[in-house]
Amino acid sequence: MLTYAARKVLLILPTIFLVLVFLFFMLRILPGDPVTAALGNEASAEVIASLKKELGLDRPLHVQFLDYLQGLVKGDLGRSLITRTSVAGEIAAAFPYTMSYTVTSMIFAIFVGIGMGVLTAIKRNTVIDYLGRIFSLLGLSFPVFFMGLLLMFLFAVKLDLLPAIGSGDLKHLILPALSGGLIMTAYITRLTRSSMLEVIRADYIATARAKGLRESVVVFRHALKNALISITTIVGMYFGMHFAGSIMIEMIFARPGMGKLLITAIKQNDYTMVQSLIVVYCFIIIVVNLLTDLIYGLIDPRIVYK
Amino acid sequence: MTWGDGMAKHFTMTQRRWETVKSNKTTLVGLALSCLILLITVFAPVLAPFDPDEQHLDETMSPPGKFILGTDEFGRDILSRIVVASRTSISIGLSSILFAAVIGVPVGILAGYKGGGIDSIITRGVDIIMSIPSLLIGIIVVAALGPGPYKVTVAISLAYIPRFIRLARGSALSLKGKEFILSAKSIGSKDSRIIFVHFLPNILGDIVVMATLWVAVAIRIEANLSFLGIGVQPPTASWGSMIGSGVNFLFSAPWVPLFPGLAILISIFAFNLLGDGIRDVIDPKLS
Repeated sequence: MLTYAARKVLLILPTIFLVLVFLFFMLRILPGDPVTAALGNEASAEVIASLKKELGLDRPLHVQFLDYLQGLVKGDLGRSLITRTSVAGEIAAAFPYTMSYTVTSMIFAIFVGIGMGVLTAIKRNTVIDYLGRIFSLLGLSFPVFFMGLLLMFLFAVKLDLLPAIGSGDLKHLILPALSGGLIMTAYITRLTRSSMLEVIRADYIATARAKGLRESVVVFRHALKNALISITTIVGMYFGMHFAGSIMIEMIFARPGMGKLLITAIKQNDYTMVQSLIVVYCFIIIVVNLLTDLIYGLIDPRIVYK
Repeated sequence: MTWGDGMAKHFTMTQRRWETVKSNKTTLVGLALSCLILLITVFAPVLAPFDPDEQHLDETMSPPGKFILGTDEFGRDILSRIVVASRTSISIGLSSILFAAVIGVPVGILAGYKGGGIDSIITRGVDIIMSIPSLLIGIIVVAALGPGPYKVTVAISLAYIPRFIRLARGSALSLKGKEFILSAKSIGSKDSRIIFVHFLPNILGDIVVMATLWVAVAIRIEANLSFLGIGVQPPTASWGSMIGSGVNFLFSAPWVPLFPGLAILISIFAFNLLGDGIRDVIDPKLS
C-alpha cells in the first residue's frame, strides 16, 4: 500500500508542473499588460517601468517562470499588485470560508445522494423513482448561483428564518451549503442509481437473493458495496466542479472566501493575486483527485498494491 | 421498448432510434421545449412586447402586471429583456460548442488514427486541461482576455476542445482497424482525406449527442461568468448579467433577478432532457 501511495504521489508531480506551465503562460502570453492594466491608462511610462522592474516583469519569460516556481516551493506567492499585502496571507485568511462550505455541502450531498440513489434504484419505475429522476435532472440544470438565489429568497426574504448574506456563525453556512449541496446531491443520486442498476443485474446478486438473504443485506452489503467503487471515482471527478461552484456561492452569499478574492482580483486586474489563487484552486483539485485514487485503492480489494 | 429480431430487420438504424425517441415522453418534451426556445431566440425582436432598452422611468421596478414580468431598476420591461437576451445566451452556448467541435474533433481523430508520439502528447495535454473544471477554465481565460461576448465564447470553447478531442479520439480508435480505413490508406489517400471523408461521417452521430448535452453546460458557464460580471456585460442583456445586476433587489423587487434565472433553468433543463433522451436511445442500458 505504501509503495502504491508513494508512486501515485510522485506521479502527480509532473501533472502539477504542467498545470503551472499552462497557467503561467496562459496568463502572461495573452494580450494585455498586467501592470498597465493595474495602474490605469494615466500612469506615466516611468512609473510603469519601475513597477515592472520591481515585480521582475522586465526579465525574460523563462527566468520569470523559474523565479515563480522557486517562490511557490518556498510558499512565497508575492504581493498583491493593488493592495500590496501578502498574497499568501490573504489566501490563508479566505481559505477556511471556502473549505467549510465545500466540505459541508459535499458531505451533505454524499449522504443524501447515495441514499436517494439506492432508493430510486430499488424502487425502479415507481413514482419514487420518477420523482427522484425529475429531481436529479432538475438539479443538473440549476446554475448553482440561481439555486442560492432561490433559497435565499425562500428562507431569508419570505420566511425570514436564516440570514441572507455574511459569514458570522454557523447559521450563515446553512443556506450556502444547502444550495451547493442540493445540486451535488442531484449528480450523486443519478450516478448512484445507474451504478446500482448495473450491479443489481449481476449474477452474485441473484445468488445472494437465492440463498435467502434479507433484501436489506442484498442491497447494502452486496450491491451498494460494489457500486461504491464507481461512485467514489466519479464523486472525485465531480469534486472539481463542485469546488469551482464555491466561487459562485461566495459571490451570492458574500462569503469572504477565495472565490470572492479571485473575482475581485480579476476585476481589479490584480494579476499576482489571480495567478496565485488559480494555482491554489488547481492544486487542491489535483490533491483531491489523488486522494480519490488512494481511497479507490483502499475500498476495492481487487486492486493489488505492488 | 424492446424489438424482436424479425421486427428490427425492417427498420434502418435511424428509424429505429426515432421510434425509441417517440416512445419516450420526456425526450419529446425536451425536443419540443428546445425547439420552442430556439424559435423564441430566432424571432426575439418580433416577440418582445416592448423595446428591451426602452426606459419607462415613471414605472421603475413595477411588479408583474401591466408589464407581464415587471420592470427593472431602469423601468425596462423584464420579459422583453429575457426574450432578447436569449439571443446572447443561446448563441454563445451554441457557437462555443460548435467552435470547440470544429477544432477538437479533427485533432481527436488525428490522435486516435495516428497513435504514437502525437497521440501521447495530445492525450497528456487533454488530461491536464480536463483536470481543471470548465468553469475555472472559463474564469482563467476571461481573466486573461477580458470580458465580452466573443471572449466568453472563446473561453467556453477552450474548456470544451479537450472534451471533443477525447470523444473523437475514442471513436476513431474503434474504427482505425476497419477495412474501409485500411483500404483508403492502401490506395494512398492523404491523411486529411481519411480524416474528413472516412472517419468524420462515421463518428458524427456520437458527437452530435454529446454536443447537445454540452450546449446545456455552455449556457450555464456563460450565465455564471456573466453573473460574476466578467462575462457579457451590461448594457448587453444576457440572462446571467441580468441576474448579476438585479441581485441587489432580491428583497425589494425579487422579480428582477428571479425571472431571468427561471429562463436559464428552463433552457438548460430542456437541453438536458433532450440530450438525456438521445443518450438513452444510443445507450439504453442506464435508463
